Amino acid sequence: MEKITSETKIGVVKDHIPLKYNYTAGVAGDRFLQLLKQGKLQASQCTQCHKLYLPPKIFCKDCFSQLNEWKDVAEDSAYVYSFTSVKKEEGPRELIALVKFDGVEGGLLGRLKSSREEPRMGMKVRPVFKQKSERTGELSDIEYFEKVNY
Amino acid sequence: MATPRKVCVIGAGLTLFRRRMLETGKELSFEAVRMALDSAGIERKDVDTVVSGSAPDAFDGVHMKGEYLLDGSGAYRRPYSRVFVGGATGVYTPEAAWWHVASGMSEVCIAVAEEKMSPLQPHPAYAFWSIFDHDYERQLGTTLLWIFALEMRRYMAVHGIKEEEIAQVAVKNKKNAMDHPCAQLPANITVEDVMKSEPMVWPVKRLDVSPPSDGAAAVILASEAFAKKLTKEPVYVAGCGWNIDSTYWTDRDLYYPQYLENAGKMAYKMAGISNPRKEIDVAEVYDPFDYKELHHMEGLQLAKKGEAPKLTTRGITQRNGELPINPSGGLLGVGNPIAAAGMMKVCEIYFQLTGQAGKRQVKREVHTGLAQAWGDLMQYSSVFIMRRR
Ligand SMILES: [Zn+2]
Repeated sequence: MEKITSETKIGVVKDHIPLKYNYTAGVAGDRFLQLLKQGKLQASQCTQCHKLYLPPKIFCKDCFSQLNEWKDVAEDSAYVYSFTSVKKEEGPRELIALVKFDGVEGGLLGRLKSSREEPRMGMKVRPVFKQKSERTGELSDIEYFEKVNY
Repeated sequence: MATPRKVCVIGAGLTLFRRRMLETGKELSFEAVRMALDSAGIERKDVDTVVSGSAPDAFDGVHMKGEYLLDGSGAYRRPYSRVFVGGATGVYTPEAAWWHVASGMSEVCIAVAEEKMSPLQPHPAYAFWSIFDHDYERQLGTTLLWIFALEMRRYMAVHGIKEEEIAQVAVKNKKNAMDHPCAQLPANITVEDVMKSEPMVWPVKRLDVSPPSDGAAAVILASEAFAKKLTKEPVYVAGCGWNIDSTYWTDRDLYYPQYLENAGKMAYKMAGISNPRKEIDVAEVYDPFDYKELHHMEGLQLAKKGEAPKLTTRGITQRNGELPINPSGGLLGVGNPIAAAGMMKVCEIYFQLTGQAGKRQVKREVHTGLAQAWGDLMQYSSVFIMRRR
């Protein structure tokens, strides 16, 4: 069955497919990102099953009701759920964490500010926003999460 | 629920799995289907329906891959469809074929899975850019490896599992693959080799990961009446299960695949299995990463939560063990042409049940075997159980 012994000898036809996209953030996403620009972190709430969703949604995936209530996410509720260390093609090694919030369904992926201390699973953190003038209404308005001692 | 009619698997075929094959996707599909037809001893004229499975179009670089692959899949002027549930596609494809036959709509159905990942430059992993959320994940430069690293880390932290314990899976599977004629990365390596291999995204290292590949695999399903014309002792489809978790992977507790437990229970119920650990004789569980074999054994109730590494250390999952897992060599050893890799597992269970696995034949007697795949964004599982009377 083996006909090709060296894959580098296989002839190829080169091509490039240029595609560009303009995505919308959605009804919930647009509001969430505008709030983020103001330095506020809010979750949408299901009044039926009392779940808080972050990032916010306009529907509850479980009871399937429409969500209209929004609540501030308590700043001291954030913790590192899992983390890893990544190296991109350019730049230094970075710590990336999935940050969850007590009592909230979901979480946010973000950079973790390095410190002399090794990060731990469950470590309490808080979001640090960019300077107001630099915010763009994108998730990157949260510059990083940093360890806090409550 | 009306009882569906009995369905049998009557043939299997697969191509070589390689980093780059000369064959196009259509040609790979043709080779797999041709081999499956020959293995069943039938011709395309005997086939009345076809299901094709393939993962993201971005790999092949051809949109509408189902349409693109149809002639090579044997579907010309037949009822035909393509199914797609990401990495779980390979095991979901024969399930879709099962509906065709179980419903009475079809007598003989080809289920073929293809993936040609090599066209995408500079690396097939770039296709995964397009699967992440554009508002919350892509900005950071999120890659699939990051997400898997977060999941692996969580699994390790909850159960206190060491990287060395996980590495044993890569060692076992790459060794098993040395007996697979289609294998891309068979190797005799040690736990130390895995530990010393290039760090990718901590704690994931080069040898923890399966390679991208080109390849195709196929099985043929038929009604019991048709199968009995070919053999006195056909292999039956005993159970099918599939299940999906939330789109939002951040909502889930990553240490345990609940969606897989659900898919497994669905398949076990259909197969009349109450104790999978005792009643499954051999299993091919999805192993794109070594930790995933362990994670999946637990989701499938083949091990208790956190127990799979211990079973591996004790040699229970070896080919000559009490519960052989991935005797084919899995994705880690045979290769990972996404949809085709899942179907390769279905083929392996068919070969094991019919005594055609050659050097890979497991030591214990096999009556019931299971194939499982995992996909979409770490949230889908498909489970296919076959049984020889
Ligand atoms: Zn609700």
